[in-house]
Amino acid sequence: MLTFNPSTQPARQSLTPFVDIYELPNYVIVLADMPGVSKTGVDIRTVDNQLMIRGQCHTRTDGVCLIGECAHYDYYRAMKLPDTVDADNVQAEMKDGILTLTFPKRRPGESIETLIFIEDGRQ
Amino acid sequence: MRIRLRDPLQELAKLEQTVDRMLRRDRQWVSYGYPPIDLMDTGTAFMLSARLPGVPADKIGLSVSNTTVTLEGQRGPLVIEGAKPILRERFYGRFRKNIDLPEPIDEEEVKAQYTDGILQVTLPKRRQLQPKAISIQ
Repeated sequence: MLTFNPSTQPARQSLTPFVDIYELPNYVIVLADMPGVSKTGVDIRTVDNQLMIRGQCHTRTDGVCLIGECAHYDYYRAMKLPDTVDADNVQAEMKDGILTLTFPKRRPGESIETLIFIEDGRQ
Repeated sequence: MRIRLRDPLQELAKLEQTVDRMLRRDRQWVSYGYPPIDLMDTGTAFMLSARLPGVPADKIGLSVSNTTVTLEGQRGPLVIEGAKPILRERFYGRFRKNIDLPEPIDEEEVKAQYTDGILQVTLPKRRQLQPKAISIQ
């Protein structure tokens, strides 16, 4: 279940980047293939433990298309991260068309505590 | 008359053996579909762009001859000490792709550039020999 606002999704047709996820004792690493996207063309958002990646492909060639296997679409992917991940403290790197996201893991026993107030119904 | 019943599971086992043979791990596996490419005709040249994220430029073999372009190389494998894969979709391994061009190209003028994971190759078309008119003295 993804709760991203539909307005944040691209209107243009987009490619789904291929993704690898690796788990280490203290980190979770997400690698996404996004060739043609520069450092400034990436948009990464996290909502709770859900990740949204968007990339704008900057290469474009004019002319008659003879073979179009990848075309110049943008990239879009949304996915759920493992529950152990601290999605707020992410480190991102973009190099040679690969986006690398390093999420630290929450220490075992560390949970998010939210205090909820009950409103007084009296006027 | 004796009726011999064949064990259907035995047939399945045979099939499994065949599949095992086909997917033998020791065989050098080469992907002929990778990388995805775009080929554009700009009028004077063909522009080839191949999506090869994370493949260093010196690990890409590019050869051209008349009307054929060959891309080959190897990607990865990625090694992270002690990492447990949760999801693996990205391509790793050897690849080789032949691209046929509709017109001959000038091999000497081919230029290639690698930026942000895209290999962009400019393949200028060979200039057609124009018949030269000779005036008679």
